[in-house]
Amino acid sequence: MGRDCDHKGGFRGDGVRDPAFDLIFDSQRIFRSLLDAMANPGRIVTLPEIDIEPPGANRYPLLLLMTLLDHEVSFCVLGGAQTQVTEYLKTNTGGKESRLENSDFILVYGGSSHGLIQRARVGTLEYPDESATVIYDAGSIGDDRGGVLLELSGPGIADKRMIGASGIEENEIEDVLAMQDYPLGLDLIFSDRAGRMVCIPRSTTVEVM
Amino acid sequence: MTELSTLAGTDSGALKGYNFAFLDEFTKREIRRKILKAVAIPGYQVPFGSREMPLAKGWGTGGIQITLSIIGRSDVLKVIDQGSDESVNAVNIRNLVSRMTGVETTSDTGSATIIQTRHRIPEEALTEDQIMVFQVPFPEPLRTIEPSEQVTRRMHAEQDYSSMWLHLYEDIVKHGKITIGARYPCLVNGRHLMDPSPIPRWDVPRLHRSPVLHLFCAGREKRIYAVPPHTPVEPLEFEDYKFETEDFSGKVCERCGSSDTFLDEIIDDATGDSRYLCSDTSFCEKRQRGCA
Repeated sequence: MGRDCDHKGGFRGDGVRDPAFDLIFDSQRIFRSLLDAMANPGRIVTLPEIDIEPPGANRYPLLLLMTLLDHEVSFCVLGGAQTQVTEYLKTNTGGKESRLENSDFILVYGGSSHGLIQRARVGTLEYPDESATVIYDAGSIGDDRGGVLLELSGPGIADKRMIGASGIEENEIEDVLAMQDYPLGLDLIFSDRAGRMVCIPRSTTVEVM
Repeated sequence: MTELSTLAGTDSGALKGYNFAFLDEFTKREIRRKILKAVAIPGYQVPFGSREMPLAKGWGTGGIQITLSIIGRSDVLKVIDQGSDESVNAVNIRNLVSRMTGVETTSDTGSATIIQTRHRIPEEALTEDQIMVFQVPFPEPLRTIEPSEQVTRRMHAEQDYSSMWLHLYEDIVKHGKITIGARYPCLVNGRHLMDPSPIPRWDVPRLHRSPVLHLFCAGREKRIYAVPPHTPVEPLEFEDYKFETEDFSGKVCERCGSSDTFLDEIIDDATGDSRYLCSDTSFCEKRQRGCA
């Protein structure tokens, strides 16, 4: 809470916490889904149904952030119902709103950050873990109609995996891929409206088909 | 609905008076975030704020923090120490987790979803639905040759492992072979040098492109690292001095007759004779019953 800290507001937002989310057991279940997806890039993992009522059409990216955020980390929201979503996350997690270049977690709506993502933290060679995790609100995962089709290989993948996702722009993928310089880079999570999720950590080699 | 009082650890978990899985929720969250980064950068040691545990440092405080941070009510836990489910360390850790979570425990490798281990990988083939949690005393493979954390961190940053190669070379010059027993240095995903924890050389090739997620944690040294499934893990070796596992040729387990498992040598004090037994007791029992 020092002067240089760029989060706004207090430790918690002004609202009331969402009663549908169980801080202990829902966090644990969602984390395990996320761990499964992160350890197996390109594997489609379905998140548990939890009836939170956040602003915005897709509640699943917010379930992920409610599992990951607390007062020790910062986040920012790009696009969508930015103000309401930010307020909802602050209220429910105590996470700090931050500028993009300082954020630990970035939530992108609309399938593109319009080039802003290039300012996200990629870590340093001594501390590559000090990098952003980016969550994309995707239309539909496992379906390449009107979307991107990616071929993935690397740790967590026996040979190769193909993954299609709609609602994420190809330019955005290209921007992220240009930033990946292993072990530096961003770790991506695509989260769609049916609760399906897929992860692409920086260790994954991605080919846009 | 979990109340904030539960987060503070004042509400009942499996054992009244404690939070579910002992750790408070903020601690779990930090460890979970660090695990995800560790998985995204295989072999890289992620610093974390290790907590005091009701267990002395050096007795698996790292492994237990990982286990408690990932475990849920539907998990089945197995804990082994040097391959044995029945050693004091394994029994105490298993009892602690069981009392703090109420989860089912087992000694059967096949039915466990989380296997916490000290110094071994079970002999039975593991599946992709399982998670291995390793207790790690020394996470830094370069520590024996470089005492400064600042320097070793820079060496990892620059992928400068020349002094480790020199160390292996000197070993060969002095002894005619590489004499490292447990904690054999491995290159993970072709990038980061990793200490695979004090597993014997026998278990090192079993990490290579294994279908299982491996999580490593050093409580005292405050580091988490990971080997995701299907990740290359290559022990350092020279073209003319290859990495070798322990040689048990001509020896069999006295109990189950196994000749293809890691054996413990037991020396009879009276006669001085050597006997050999499987280190993985659960696997040995299965063989004795003719199940494996």
